[in-house]
Amino acid sequence: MRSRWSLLGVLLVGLALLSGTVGSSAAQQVVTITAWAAGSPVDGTRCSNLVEAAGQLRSETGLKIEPACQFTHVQDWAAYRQRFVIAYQAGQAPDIWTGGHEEIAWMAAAGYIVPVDEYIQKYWEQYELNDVFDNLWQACTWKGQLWCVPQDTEARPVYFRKDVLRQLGWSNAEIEALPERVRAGEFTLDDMIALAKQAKEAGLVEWGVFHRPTPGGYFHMMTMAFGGQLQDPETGKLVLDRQAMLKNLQFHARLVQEGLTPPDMTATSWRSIHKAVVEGRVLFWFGGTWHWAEWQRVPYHGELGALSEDYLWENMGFMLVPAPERGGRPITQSHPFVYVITSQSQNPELAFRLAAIGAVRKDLAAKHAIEAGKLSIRKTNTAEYRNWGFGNAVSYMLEYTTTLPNHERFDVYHRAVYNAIQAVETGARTPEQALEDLVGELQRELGDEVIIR
Amino acid sequence: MRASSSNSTPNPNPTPVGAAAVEAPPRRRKRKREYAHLTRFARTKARLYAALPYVLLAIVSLPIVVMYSWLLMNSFSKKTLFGFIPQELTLNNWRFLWEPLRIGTSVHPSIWTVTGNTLLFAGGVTVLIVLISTLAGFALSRFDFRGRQSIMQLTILLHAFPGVTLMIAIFFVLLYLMKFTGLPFLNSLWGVVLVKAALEIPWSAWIIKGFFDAIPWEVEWSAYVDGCNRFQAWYKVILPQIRPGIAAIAIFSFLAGWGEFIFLYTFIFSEAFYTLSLYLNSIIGEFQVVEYGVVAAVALFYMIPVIVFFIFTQKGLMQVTVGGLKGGR
Amino acid sequence: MRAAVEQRARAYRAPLNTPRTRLLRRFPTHWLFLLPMLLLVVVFFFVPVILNLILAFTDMTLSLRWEFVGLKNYVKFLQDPLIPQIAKNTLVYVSATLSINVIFGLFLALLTTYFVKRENVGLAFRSLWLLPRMTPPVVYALLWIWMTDPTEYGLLNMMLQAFGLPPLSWRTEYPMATIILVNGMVGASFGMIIFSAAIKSIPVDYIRAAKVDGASDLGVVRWVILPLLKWPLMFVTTWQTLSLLASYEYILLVTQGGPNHRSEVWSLYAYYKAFASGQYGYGAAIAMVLVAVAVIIALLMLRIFGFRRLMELMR
Repeated sequence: MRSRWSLLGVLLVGLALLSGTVGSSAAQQVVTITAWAAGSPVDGTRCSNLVEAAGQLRSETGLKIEPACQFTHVQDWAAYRQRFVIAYQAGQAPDIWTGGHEEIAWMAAAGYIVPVDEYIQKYWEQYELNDVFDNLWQACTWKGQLWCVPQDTEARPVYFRKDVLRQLGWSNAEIEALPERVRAGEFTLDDMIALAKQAKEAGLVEWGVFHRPTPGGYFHMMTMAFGGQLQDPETGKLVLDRQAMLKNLQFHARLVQEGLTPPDMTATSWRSIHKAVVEGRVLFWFGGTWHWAEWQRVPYHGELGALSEDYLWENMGFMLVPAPERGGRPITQSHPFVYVITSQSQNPELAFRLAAIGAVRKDLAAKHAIEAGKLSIRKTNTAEYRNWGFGNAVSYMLEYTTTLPNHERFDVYHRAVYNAIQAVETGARTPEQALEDLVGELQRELGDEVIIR
Repeated sequence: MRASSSNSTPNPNPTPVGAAAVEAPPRRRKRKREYAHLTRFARTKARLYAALPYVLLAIVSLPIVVMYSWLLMNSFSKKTLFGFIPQELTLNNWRFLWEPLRIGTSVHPSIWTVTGNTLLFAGGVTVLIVLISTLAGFALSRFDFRGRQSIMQLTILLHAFPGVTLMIAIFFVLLYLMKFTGLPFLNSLWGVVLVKAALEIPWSAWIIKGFFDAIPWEVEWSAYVDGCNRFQAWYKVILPQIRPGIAAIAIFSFLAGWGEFIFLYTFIFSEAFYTLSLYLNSIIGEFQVVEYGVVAAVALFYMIPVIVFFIFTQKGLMQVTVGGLKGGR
Repeated sequence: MRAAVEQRARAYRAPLNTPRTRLLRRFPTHWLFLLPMLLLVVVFFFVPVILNLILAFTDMTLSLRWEFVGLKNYVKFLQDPLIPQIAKNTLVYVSATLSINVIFGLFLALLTTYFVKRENVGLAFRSLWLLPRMTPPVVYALLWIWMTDPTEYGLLNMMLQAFGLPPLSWRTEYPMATIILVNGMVGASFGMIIFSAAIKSIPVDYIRAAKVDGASDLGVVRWVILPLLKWPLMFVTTWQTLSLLASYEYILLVTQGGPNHRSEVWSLYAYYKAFASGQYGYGAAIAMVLVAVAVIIALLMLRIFGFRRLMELMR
């Protein structure tokens, strides 16, 4: 190793002498590439993969690549975003920033990030970018240009407690068949509610259905489950589908009225939600694939602490979000995380290469997927990933997946929908009132950037 | 205080005050003798009555005692009964002192870097406040010039003015300072030091002016006689005379800087510049995956200077706090 | 003696015609002493007030572009469906916390300085009540987060359990009461200290005289002490109104204004609009109301109390 370095050094010094330029320091030139990543406590590989990728980039370029990655355990995505803006204004933006794919629109519009089409083309084959799912590149597109490298994807299944179903008298075969029945559109959201009620009335669970407490993709996934659309494919404008949104609001109002979901669901802490779910005090949980990993690493369970995968297989099932009507199409949602290259990067190409290696290289992609409970962004994968039982078991869900729109002001829409659902659940508004409030707010805030149907 | 009370008092006492004062002692003695003849029951009643304030105080203060003892007990125990009776003692909660805290696969920065930052921040705030307010306090106390009265009024008004309402605008002030000078006013401890010092200075200048007022003129004149100019007089002769005052504002500035949260939280975004307040806040965070024992230990660690100052400066604390209750809440 | 010293000092200050003294005359020394303070005051008080005013007329967002939109933010503000709730919260929060601060502060001051005859006991209790104020806000907030923890590990829930009751989610069930108590426990010490100082400065003779006339302890409080506390009471009330309107640090730390905005006050709402939603312009417009109120109250204080009395009260 050392000899290779010195050889390289000699070569470079020779080159510098030959060309007569001041290249003598190039041999030791240190290129620092900074990155910010964020996520749940098990997403640390978003950072560590970049650090690992530096080795490859070092040997490819002969440069001393020093990666410095800061991982934020995000509590509020808005604050994380805000910090980026301040850092950018301070001229201290990292080279690589990690976020949900829907962030690219506002960042690109403000000139904070650079398009990467050119690099993608250049390294398309070298870094096996051609092996990444096409729809993920779609998630990186805004106004006809590519702005990011997909880093991971996932599905958002509904988890259910197998132990509770067993206590309700379900046979193992029946339990194992549930996901298939959902997939076939035989088991609907109404059936889900009925089953939750049954379990609650039998005193087996405290609550029937839990969903995330903070703004997130889930709330839009439900609009889409009821047949709604979020973005107009023609104009790229945001869409509010009155009928679907009303159904979404009514669904949540019903969950609370039937006593299946606590009225202050949106005020409950993540910790107590996870605790209740892993301890079997809730039948259904609108979660995400990463929770499978999180439950194995974070000691949420009061007695058992971090759970073994065996325990999870034994007690937790997962299925698509059931269709609203019999024969309808069940769905799920993917929220691809992406690396973007900021416009303050001194070495955008190197930063891109680091991001591309970190995200796409087979071993790294597999490592992140397995550790964080995400799905690989690649079509072909390592043996380790192929043998990963959970990954295999959920991968069919990608056929039913949806994504969030890439729109500059999506955040306004995002928060407004969340507020409407919160108002309905807490009983502050009826679904109809909340819908009118929502329409009013969106029209005020977004003007003609939103289409109300 | 006295001046304000005497002219606004409706005197409830028909007898002249002076006369009553003279007569009071003998009468009281007589009363005491009367007590001696009281029945046992009445004596007990009187004693109970005398104890009542103590009991009342103890009851209302109980929550504070419980809260802080929880912090202490929890930091050293694995399990507690009712939260503050330790069951199993351990030092494991203090492991953040020798290894970085890990949550899931993410790692928190070392406590010592964070403590260093906090010291730097609090120290910076202290130095700036002491320096600037002793300069300003001196001018307000010892110079007579046009505008002095207005500046004093201004100081007092600014002391009352809640600086946090200006948070958004201060953000833009720092942003533009940074853009025009190229210096890191945002995401740097120094930027926030300036903000914090600026918001505290009206109070400290005010307090320190009082100390300057108490120094006889002769002391200052003697300095001029010795050939000092006003800066030299300020520095060599006057400042050493007001050491207690400087100590008081230094302690308060330090503690204010040490405890600062909201401005740091808003203007600092790199973990490299995290102070203890941000560190603690981040481990309390949404996921709340760290055991309470660890959080309690970090909190107690963070409290050390406060405890030290609290014990050693009891009396002074009482005298100086009155004006120093900035942001009163 | 004094006259001689004075003369010599004056002699020293006789104008010398050096460049330095000429400069000093044009820009006298006292301004040099005051300069650093004035600079900070201008940069971090005056400029922000003006900047806030200007920002409120822009549509400033995360892209940080100055786009003037006239009164749009204020119109938005009038249409904002949350504003009535936020205003109500602020009113409840400020008035309730204020009453705790004044009434309980007075209660503590009377107990520790008048009723408790042992000076060191009084001092000990006063110090104890100062502790929450001296504690870093994040630690103090942590204590409350633990007290009101929704699981069986919280102090309040342990007490419920002792009576065989199920645990309660205190912060989400009673968010307003929580933030009022959180702030009240810190705020009470302000009143306590001001009132204690005032009570101590009452001449002992007044109290003795009242006792001689047969007044009970409560009578002394009612007829002697309270009337003498008129100015400190007014001072604490106005001062705390000002601080409470602007304070959101503990609320941010303990309930984050939630659930569902139930403990969100005006200042926190402005903060969130700016720093969570990135709507700086709108946030500034909301904050403008507070800035205006703060300026008015501060000036009113000067009017009501007069400069001299304010100086004494603030010492």
